[in-house]
Amino acid sequence: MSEPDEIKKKFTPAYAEYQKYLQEVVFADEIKKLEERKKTNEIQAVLQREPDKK
Amino acid sequence: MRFKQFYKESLTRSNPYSRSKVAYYESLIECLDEAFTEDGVPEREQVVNIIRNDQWEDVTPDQFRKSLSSSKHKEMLSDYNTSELAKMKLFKVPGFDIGFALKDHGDEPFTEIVAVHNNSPIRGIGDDLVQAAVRNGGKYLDHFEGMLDKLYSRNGFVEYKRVPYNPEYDPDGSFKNKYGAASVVYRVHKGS
Repeated sequence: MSEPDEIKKKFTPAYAEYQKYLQEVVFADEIKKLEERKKTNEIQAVLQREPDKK
Repeated sequence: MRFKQFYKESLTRSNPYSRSKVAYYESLIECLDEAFTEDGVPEREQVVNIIRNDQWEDVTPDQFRKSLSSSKHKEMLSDYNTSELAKMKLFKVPGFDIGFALKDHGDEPFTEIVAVHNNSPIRGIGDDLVQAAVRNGGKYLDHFEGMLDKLYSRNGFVEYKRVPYNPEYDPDGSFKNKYGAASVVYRVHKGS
């Protein structure tokens, strides 16, 4: 398959649905944990900047 | 089923009560065995051990497609017909609709990770699947930028190419309307 054909294939419903499936099913737990950690880090950062918010 | 069979048999024997009671307890044990392995390890742990020890089921392209096709995202299947799958190395967890495949990447055989799937109720095994794919020769993968960036990056995949959304491939804009205009990120495993 030529490179343009290979790239074209990425912008099709088949590929997009597979990406959605990976996010919503296969890696759902891992993504949730990453988001929770991000939120915790953001809160920690705010608390370090503004300790009176504790 | 086993309980019913034991129960019927016990009625025809000399001491029906005790036999049926034994059969009842056996059927309870059988039910519990479905949720736990014989040594009391929960299913998730059992699956993780199978993946980590590379105890894959030998499957045909048809069987692999069946495992993949139990997903609700049916549209993704058009890239994986059985003749395409026949050219790949297939990895499936025995007894579960969980697995991935390795296909040729240019002139490097079986190095591109595709068809990663988990159509079981067990969650939180995505990292294990990616690591197993790498252990078995997987080096390349690609994805839409966004949520998966950090996940693949922490599993050792580094970006080597990025292709932005191209409206030439989506003349009526229907793809962009439904899925957005994310770039495709190509990654290679840094340990490879």
